[in-house]
Amino acid sequence: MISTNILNDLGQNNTVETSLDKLKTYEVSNPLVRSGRTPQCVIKPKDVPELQKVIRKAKEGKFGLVPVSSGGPHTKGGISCSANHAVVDLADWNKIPWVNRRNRVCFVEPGVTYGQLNNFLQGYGMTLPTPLAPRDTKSVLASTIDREPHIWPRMQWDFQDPVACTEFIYGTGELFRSGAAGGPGTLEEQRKSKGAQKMPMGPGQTDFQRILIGAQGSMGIMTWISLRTELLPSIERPMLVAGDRLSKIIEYVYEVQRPWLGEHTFILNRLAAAMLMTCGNPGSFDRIRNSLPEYICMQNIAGFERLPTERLEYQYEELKNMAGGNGLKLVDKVGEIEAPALLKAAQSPCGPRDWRHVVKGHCLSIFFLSLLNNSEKYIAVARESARAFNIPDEQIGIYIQPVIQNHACHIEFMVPFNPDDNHEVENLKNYEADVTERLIKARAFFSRPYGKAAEMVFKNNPGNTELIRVIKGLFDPENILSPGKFNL
Amino acid sequence: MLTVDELKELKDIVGQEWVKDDLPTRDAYSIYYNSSSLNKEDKLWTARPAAVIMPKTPKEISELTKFCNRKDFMLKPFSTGWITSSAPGSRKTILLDLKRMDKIIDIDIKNQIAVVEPYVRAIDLQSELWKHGLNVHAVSCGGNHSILASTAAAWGYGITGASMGYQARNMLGVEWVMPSGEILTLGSPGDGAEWFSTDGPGPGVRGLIRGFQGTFGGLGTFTKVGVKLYRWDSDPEYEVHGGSPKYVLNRELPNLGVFILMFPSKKQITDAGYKLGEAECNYSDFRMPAFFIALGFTDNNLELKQLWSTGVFPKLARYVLTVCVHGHSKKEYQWKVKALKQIVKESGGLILPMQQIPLAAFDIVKPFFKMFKNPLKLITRIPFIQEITDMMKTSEEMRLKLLTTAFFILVRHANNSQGGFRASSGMFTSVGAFDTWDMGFEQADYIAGVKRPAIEKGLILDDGGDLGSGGTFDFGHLGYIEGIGEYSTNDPESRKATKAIVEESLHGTIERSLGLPIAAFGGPMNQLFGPHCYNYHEMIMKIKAKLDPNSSYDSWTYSGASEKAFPDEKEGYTFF
Repeated sequence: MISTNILNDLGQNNTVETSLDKLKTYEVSNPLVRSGRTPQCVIKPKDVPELQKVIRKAKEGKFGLVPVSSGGPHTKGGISCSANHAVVDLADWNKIPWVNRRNRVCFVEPGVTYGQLNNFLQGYGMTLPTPLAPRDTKSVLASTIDREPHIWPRMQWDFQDPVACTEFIYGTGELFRSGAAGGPGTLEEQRKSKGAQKMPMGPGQTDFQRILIGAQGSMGIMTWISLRTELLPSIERPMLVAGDRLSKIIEYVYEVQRPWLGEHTFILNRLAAAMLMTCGNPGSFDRIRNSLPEYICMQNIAGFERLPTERLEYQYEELKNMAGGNGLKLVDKVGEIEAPALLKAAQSPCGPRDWRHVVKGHCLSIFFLSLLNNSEKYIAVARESARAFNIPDEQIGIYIQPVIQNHACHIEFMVPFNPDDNHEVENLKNYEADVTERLIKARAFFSRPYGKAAEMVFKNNPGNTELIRVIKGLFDPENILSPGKFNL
Repeated sequence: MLTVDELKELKDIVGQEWVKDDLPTRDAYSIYYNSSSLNKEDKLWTARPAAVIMPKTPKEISELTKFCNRKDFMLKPFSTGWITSSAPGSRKTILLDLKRMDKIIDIDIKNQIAVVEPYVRAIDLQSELWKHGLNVHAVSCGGNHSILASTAAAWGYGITGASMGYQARNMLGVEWVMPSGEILTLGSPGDGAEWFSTDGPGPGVRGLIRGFQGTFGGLGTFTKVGVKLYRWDSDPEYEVHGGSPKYVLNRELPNLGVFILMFPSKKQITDAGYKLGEAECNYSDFRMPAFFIALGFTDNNLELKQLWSTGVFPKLARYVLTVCVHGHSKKEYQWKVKALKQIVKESGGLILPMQQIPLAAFDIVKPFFKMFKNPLKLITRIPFIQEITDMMKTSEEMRLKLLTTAFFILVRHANNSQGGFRASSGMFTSVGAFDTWDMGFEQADYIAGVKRPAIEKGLILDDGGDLGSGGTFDFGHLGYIEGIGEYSTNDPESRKATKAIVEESLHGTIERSLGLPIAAFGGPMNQLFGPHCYNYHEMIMKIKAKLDPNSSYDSWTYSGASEKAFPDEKEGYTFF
């Protein structure tokens, strides 16, 4: 229990919630995930010094802290904590304190959402690449520091993009700034010298923020990040390629991505595409799904500020030829899906609930990294496992997202389910365990481990896991932050 | 001194012929370029290593590491060993020369990934990659550097960064013999997958081993690295004529062009740099200072002296950006060239004709240039000046000659830092914080001012002051310029002046918030900068203490002088 004295003390300058109804909204909303404990309280710190005080009080009161920036429902399990803990909710910190068009950069606080940010950036002729249709309340900071893939792979050089610099607080309560923001000088002094807090590494010989990225809140709490933004296209021609043979589409994507042609791209199977397109109108799901071939690939083409029409024209010609060379056609519409509508759905917030959940109320998502040419192998693994659990192929959604300029790819399998059907839930729990194990054996890399993968993946490379423990001891020696995460 | 028994133990690990403890060999590994910068006495010689060992496998390195955990010795690995940071920090240091680990383990053509050992040089890998339509980013010390070192262990600006990024960010997995001797592979290959990520599962623990700079051998040995590759859509090979040191391409390469862009002001060159990045025109770029341009126009130092003394270059070529445009196809190349020309025009710049200009021509125009403070500003205001300039032609050979010089710098990495040494016996560098293209020029201006008194006194070479060299990264998202100077390694006064310049610049970058300079690594530098940067140096020392409690690795270039070092080896230095 967190002592009343501490709660009263923290309540003087900060909002502290203790009502059970409120606390329940910070539980993991997913019957497939081990839920952990209900938080003892939710603290909404007023500012950075108060947040530092919260961390010091947590050390004094021997309770954990789980940082949260997105609004609920929380489904992946990132906030799950089995120890006595409080939630630190930073969703109300939602300012965009600085933007700079010349250097294509902006600062965001933890509670800034994709819709909010991209509306704001539009006024500067810029945009931030989005994950595939993020929830309305999805925090940009939470998503990007989780290495969540976005749909514009050409603009991602490295896995930590688009994060540029960060400010964070160690588990000791000490404040730190990483990358160019680390100094010397204040942010304002650096800007006076024409710095813009873009360089992500350091300070010096350590890449501090990279250790927090992917750590699911266990190594530090970020208070702001700077982000590399991109030019907003001035002219666009979203197109599609589609077909029943994934191998052809994959070959096409390789050919296009190697010379950095085209813009936004991703591959969905017909179930996933129909789920995405109907998240605001589930009634049309069957009609749309039945109109589609097995796979559909977004191929946006754009021009920017420089010779936009000519750029779009030469790229269109090249992409059309590449599609043709792979036995595909570059088209405006496939079945009931028009390319501009798909691009819009992919780039826009999908509503209060994850688009994957709309069909049946919830969805099992299993995602990992590999190489694009391994996709079909992993689809076969997922389907083979599914057959043992009487899950037909057509009930598995597939999302394939090239990342880091197509040097790797995110592969995601989605199985929609009814969370109130205990039999279905139990079956999917068993399926998740089985398929995750098979995928790991088949060399899938669970870079962002959640669910069953989080329980299994750290056994693969014990030396790496031990190193994570060592770092945890340095960054959070009292084990305050997300205690128990990754079994640390 | 290693005892007979200790030497036997080492020889049992790697084989007798690969352990060198004779004096001539150890002395050969005790002198480096700029090694006098490492001690207060201004001595050219560094500590003499206890031995030099050339291992072949990670397992051997692991055994050697375990040896140093038990004994009062340390390891210091290096790959090609050109830079002073490869030097031993102590007489108790055993150098690991990794030249026997020289295999390209794999090239995944489809996914554009190479896996290499430490002694694979950039130029060797590039030669192989071009056959497959691929390319690799090389840092600007030149094609002879180790790709593994620039990716995992060291640092470095590189001219192809415009489209291929900063090399630390191109790391796709790394194999590491840790200070304990354990062999650990980070990222996807550590989990049994292919080499495509160093991050995860969970936290990006690679952050421990590589920031802006690496650990320079102070925290173990990296034995394999996965490297992100990029496209190459031109010919797999090229043919040249001529002879050393001046080879000339027989013909232009398809879908590839190099352009020398001249601007009258800092504002105009920076504007153009950002716009070129946004349009993704620049496959590679290099802000080439006036002195280096003059160097490129001449074949020997006498010509250089004559040309530089005309005074034309400091006025004409103060703000020059050399750019390589590379198209996937002819259509794309044409679009990019058109965009580049439009950008240059609207930025008020001029594209120099790709013609080697006869040196006598500079004598002719000298009086005109003497009359005006910024003659280029006037020239660029002449109507149709670009069109007039485009009509200037001499001969095909003269065109190819200049094209070749630019090609070897911008694409082939065959004439980078070392090429800049020609005018003197030594080169130093300073500032070089990485952030924005604009900030690069602020650094260049600052260091030019710091150098000026020494130039006026004749203590360092008169390069005009502004020898700021660098370019853009990630299509203009990032920028970098370091402040180079040239000095005489044989003249103690010149060395002393150089050291004073670099020291002043270190403090100046703190006062002016100009970022963390290129030399900000190792104990004394981290102690200097850490208190101004959230005490990052304290975390470095904690990491070292936790991962290397027995000081099995010499850490002078990382956390500071090792516990095992002799007292006289724990003094400060000013690295340049």
